[in-house]
Amino acid sequence: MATAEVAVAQPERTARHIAPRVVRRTVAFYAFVAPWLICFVALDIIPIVLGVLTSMTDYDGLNLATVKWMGLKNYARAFTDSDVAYSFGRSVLWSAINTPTWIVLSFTLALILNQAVKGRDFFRTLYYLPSVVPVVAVARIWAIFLDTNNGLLNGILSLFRPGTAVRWLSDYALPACTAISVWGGLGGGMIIFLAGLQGIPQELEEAALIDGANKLRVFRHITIPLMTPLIFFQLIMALITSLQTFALPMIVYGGGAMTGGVARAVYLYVINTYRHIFAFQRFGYGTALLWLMSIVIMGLTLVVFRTARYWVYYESEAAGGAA
Amino acid sequence: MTVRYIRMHPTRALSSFLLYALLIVVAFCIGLPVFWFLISSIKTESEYIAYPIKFLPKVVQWKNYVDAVTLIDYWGYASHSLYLALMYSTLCLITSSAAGFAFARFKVRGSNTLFSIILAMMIVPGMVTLIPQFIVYSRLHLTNTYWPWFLWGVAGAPFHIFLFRQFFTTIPAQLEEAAEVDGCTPFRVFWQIFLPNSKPVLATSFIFNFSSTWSDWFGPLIYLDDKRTTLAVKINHGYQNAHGNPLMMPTLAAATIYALPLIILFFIGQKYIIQGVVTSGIKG
Amino acid sequence: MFAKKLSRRDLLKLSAIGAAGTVLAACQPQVVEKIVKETVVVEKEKQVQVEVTKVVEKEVQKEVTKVVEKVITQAPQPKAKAASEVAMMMWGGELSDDEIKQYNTDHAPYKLSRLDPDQVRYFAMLAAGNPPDIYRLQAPEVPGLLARGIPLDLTPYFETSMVLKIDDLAAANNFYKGNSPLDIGTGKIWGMVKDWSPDCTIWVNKLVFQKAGLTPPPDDKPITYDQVFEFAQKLTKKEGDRILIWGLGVEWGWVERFWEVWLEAIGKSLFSNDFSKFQLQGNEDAVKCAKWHFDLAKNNNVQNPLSPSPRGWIGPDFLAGQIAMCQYGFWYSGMVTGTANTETGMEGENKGQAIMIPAPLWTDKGKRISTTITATGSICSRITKDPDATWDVFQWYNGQEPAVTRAKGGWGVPGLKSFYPMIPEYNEERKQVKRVLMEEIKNSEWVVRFNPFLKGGEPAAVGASWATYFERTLKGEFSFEQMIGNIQKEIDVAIKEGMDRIL
Repeated sequence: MATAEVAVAQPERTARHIAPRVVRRTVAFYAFVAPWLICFVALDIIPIVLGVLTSMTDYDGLNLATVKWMGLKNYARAFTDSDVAYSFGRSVLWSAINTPTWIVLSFTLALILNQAVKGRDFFRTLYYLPSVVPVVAVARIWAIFLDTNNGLLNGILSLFRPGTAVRWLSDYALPACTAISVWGGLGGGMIIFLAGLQGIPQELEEAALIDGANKLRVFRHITIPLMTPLIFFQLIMALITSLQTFALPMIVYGGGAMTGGVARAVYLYVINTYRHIFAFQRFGYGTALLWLMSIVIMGLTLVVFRTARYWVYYESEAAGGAA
Repeated sequence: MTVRYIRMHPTRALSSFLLYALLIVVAFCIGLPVFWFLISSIKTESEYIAYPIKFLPKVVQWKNYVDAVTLIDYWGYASHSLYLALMYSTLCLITSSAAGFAFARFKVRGSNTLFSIILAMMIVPGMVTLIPQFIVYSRLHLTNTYWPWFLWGVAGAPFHIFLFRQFFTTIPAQLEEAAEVDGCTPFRVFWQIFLPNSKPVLATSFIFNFSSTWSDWFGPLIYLDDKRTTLAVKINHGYQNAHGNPLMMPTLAAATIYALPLIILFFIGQKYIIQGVVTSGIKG
Repeated sequence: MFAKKLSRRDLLKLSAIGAAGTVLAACQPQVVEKIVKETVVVEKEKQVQVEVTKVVEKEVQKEVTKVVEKVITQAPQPKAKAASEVAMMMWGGELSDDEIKQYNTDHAPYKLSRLDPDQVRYFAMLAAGNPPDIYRLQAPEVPGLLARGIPLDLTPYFETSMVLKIDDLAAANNFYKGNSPLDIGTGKIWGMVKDWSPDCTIWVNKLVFQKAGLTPPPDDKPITYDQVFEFAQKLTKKEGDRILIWGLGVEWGWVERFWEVWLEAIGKSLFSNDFSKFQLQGNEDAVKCAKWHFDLAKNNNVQNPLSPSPRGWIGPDFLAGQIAMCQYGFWYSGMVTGTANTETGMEGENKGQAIMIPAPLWTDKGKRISTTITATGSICSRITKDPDATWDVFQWYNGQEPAVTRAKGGWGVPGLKSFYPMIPEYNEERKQVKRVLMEEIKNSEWVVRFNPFLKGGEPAAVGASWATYFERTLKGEFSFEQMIGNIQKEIDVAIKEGMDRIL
């Protein structure tokens, strides 16, 4: 019996050993992504296709009856539109300033609050609070502080030099808006890094310390490498959201923003796009502009992904990984 | 952690001091505007917009809070918000973690393509698909219902799928291999090994989803009529004078009450986030 | 909510008093008959409350009752109706839950539901083929929507309505009449104002004038815009670089509407007859209008991006006494004098110091135009599923209980002339405002021209163009002439696109 089994099973076992496992894993993969995949195909594909088609028309939001096909004219127009070029540059600058600031600051805070400091829970909750202050209040709060004639900051400065009326939101728009943006975003970034830091096994750190490493080396050689997947994640997310920022200046500059009436320094790409859509009824053109930005972001994301192999440490791949 | 507290070196004390100093400075910068927001909610309108600035109200205006909950059906709308936030967050948690797990551990045919789609979906701005998506839901007669949120929950969210994927890649492969040798199906691996070790990211994902649905004033504005809408939408325009101009004080009070569940959720949730990872069997 | 204290219950109370009163008064027989027949029931139920409310509503009663009785007796009897749902885009402050409940009860089986106005949602619903049955909009949007075939022709309904009679319509409703988008003012009726104000009036803070040693302008004759300019300059108070008080408050989103009014006063316009040309650059008269606004901003006599509003908009700034004059319409009285039950009003020492003066004159020789430039109202959707139900809601909102509440609230002038007596005057401030208002209404029979090819509602095309070049010009990146040139170029392109889209 046993010999027969072995004799029969052996040659088959090699074939069955690879294929079934791959098949099993493929089936498992698709089973796990099924909910997302099915909903995507059923509900998302049509809107995306229609969204692309919209960008090739002169749709203005209201004129479905007389809408005309524009082909790629909207896209061509974007390249000769000086406002588009300028606002693109502003968005790139905005992203270049905000992304590292946000990542570095929230990582630092997470590091600090990961240690046994007194009042840790309190600090964490406090740092998270700005994200729960509703949008409607943010502008008012900051206007009170930064307003030119009646703001708190100028009020304090007036104690030293009477009549100070620094135009923070007009002359220093970029720093001011960055400050507000960082203020609002620290909490969210901090949470993700905290979660990641907590995922680092304590035994690793303790083992290294026992082996004689000081805290800095532990940080450099254990903490950071194990955090690179999340840093990578935050980097991609920051790129995507910062290049598409429009809400913050809109809130800070009140009703003026839909008209493009924000400070020139923060005349960001999507703000310019919304001006086209809502003040000039160029919905088709605006959609094309948004798609163009998406393509740029996708390209940037691709680049970052390509660089990932050089600096992102994936535990699963390092140890031989799953099939 | 115990190792660090043994040495109380002078430089240790200095760095400890600097640490607290930094924390307090940051807390001040972050907290002052928040404090201002809170204290404003108990002022009268003239105190709120007074210049020079009045820090404290003369008389605490609890009336603002009373107005906030009586001028509109506050608790009714809050219940709508709660329902949507809970439903969406729970569903999204399940499907996103499942998908994230698959992308993290299963390098099979098509997984890279699908992951690129996930990334692309994160990048596509909402405005380009907003109207077509509305048309789709309108044809299905799902506008002015809560079904879109159910469907969006089942679909999972690209942001969270990506987050879970990144997190799951940090779990040592030996765990998974050991389980496989033991004959566990992928589902059991997911359910019994990955999920229990992922409490921090599960909590994070839930908090994020709950907060964003709770605070979402745009989605409900597009899909829901006034009777079924959520608190986030109502707060923006619910307190108006007869000309349609906003009444600031009830709005501020309403916004404060409305932020409370998020703060409580975070305070509770962050306890989960700090629960360490159980790493049994890592010495392989 | 404060302004809406006079709810439907109060209305019925008053009608009961009215019924009791008018039976005794000398009225035309048919009217009396109708009253007795239709309101007897009401009177019986409300017998008890008559005593209580009599004390409170002394003077107002008499005027109000006459109108109220008309409203209720002439409300059309519903013919056989099928159950229908009507969706209305209106702000919650303009259409309360109580009012909706009242409608659903009294006008069953029709049901009304409300949604917040939102541009994107409107686009989406239109695209899905299911727009809101009633859409809230302002006069500048009407030509554009008309050109796209969106509103329903309401003329047949108006012609047979007993509540919204065509000759009872205030002149502001002419913004909603037209036979073609290029010819608004008379003809088919597409919508109606919910309430309106002569928007060129100016609110003056007497205290600020006195402190600056100036005499406030009179409220019985209009001053000129040149005088307004001078006042604005003299009243601006500075401390070093800080502006403590601005001379004038301007709503920047409406600049081109003001220019159009001023130009029309001298027989000109911003647009050619067929609206295909925007006549700003090179047009001395138009440039003069733009310069008037710009120079005030340049000297910080008016809030502008370099000297922004500390409270978000000029409404609360004027109440706080930080703006000497504010160009807002009658509706602003709701904030300045408050209503019977609100607490808003001028702050601190400024209390009682605000008066409304007539709309200034652009020139001494031109016409005196004191019209509305917003005319907030509503249209019905051409593809509404049940036009009769939609009309029923429309008629109710604009001519029945909600309209009465709005008229008495003092937040706007009613759309029906017969409702004018209801405009409140329960204290001295209100009396002054009403006195000036009734004069202004005499000069409000004017339809301002709005271009169908440009986005008219906020954010408006010209307003947006102004907004993007404004700060840059103030800072010196452009000269004023260059700014005008830039605006001209942008609007030329926009008009051409608009014509391509519609024609």
